[in-house]
Amino acid sequence: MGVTKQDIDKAIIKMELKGIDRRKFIKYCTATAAVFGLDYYFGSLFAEAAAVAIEKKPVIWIQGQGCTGCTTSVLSSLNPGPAEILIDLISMRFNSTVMNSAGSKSTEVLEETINKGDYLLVVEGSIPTADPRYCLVEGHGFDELLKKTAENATAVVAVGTCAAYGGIPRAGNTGAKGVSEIITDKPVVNIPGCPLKPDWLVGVLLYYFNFKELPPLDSDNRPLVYFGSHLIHDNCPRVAFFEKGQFLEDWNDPATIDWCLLKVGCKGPVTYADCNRIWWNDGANYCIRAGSPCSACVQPQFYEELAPLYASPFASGREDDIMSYFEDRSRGIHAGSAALGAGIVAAPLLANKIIELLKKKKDGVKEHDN
Amino acid sequence: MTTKITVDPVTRIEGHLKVEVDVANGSVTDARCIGTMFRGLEQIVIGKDPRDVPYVVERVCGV
Repeated sequence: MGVTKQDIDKAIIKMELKGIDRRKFIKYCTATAAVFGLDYYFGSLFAEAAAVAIEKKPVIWIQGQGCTGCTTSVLSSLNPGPAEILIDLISMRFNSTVMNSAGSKSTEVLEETINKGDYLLVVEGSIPTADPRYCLVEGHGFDELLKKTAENATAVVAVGTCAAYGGIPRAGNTGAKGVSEIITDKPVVNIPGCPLKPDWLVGVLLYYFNFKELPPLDSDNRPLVYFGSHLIHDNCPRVAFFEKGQFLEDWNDPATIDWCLLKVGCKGPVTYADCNRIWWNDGANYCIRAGSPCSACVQPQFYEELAPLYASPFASGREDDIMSYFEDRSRGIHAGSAALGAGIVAAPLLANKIIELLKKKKDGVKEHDN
Repeated sequence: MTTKITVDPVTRIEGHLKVEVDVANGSVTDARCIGTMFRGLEQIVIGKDPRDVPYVVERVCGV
């Protein structure tokens, strides 16, 4: 790669000055490599790639109809601080939330970076298509800015569900769309989530810097390693209660507080993400374990097609309701893992299982009454 | 003689903001503060389950 040991040492010393120690950094790179199923040897290659990036890889981070939640998520991640890694290892040329300059000074830097080319474009927030005035930057529609910045970009990364698929704004009247519907001549990596998990972005960046290509993607253009076949339901800490047919129905009943959240709207059986394998906030916790039903925030159908979020998707308990719920959603959602030969079959099986469990529960209650 | 100062985009904030200031003879005569992004979160929650509303409208600002 043309990187000498001195280059890496220099980069690591620079990080040490910022408070990231060498051990932690190498450990983080190795962990990231492991997630991608690579040999631990790639850990040091990732560190090397990150060291090269110090001088090389400019990043432009633009925002459309978003809430800055994804920027905040990335910046507030903890040990070993992807925030520091992002700021120190890539050259963030434009990010309106953290950059120092404002107004025409900031857009001058943007122009300059675009003209130089060879940068990575990160997009946060959706793109309004009903009327450009729904999102203006320097008096121009956001779609113009997106097209202009994407033209010279080596890769486009859509962070958050808004940028990936339209997300919550898509449910409104502004014609909000995801990046891949506007930019069709370049590969776009979707890293959805509301917000995204910082590790996902850092992992994709390290992979890209090292291999000079994007990681393998699923049918929704999400990195296979982080989304792909990781069905939330499969590794759920409450799955034992699901198997027993014990469903939380009354939030005020302390006896059922750890039970399966399916009947209070959990979308775990139709959601693919690694949340329950690698927890959020530096491994502190994640939604279901904290007592909140999964809202399927990483799915292309989020939000309006999955609403209501906190009501049982099959309140009536009728069998055909349950079947159709899983069948409808399995078509789009399971396509991702269908590539791995598992998905389409899994949804009806799961639906059958749920019907069986709900029946068992009902019969059980009857026997008890007798 | 009025000078118009425009700052667009205003950075280090959440979202999109434009500020226009009119200055005449060294003092500000008029100023406008313009939010240049609209999603219509209020429209989105019309007709939705009330329990979804906090989930959706908290996304007005993620900072």
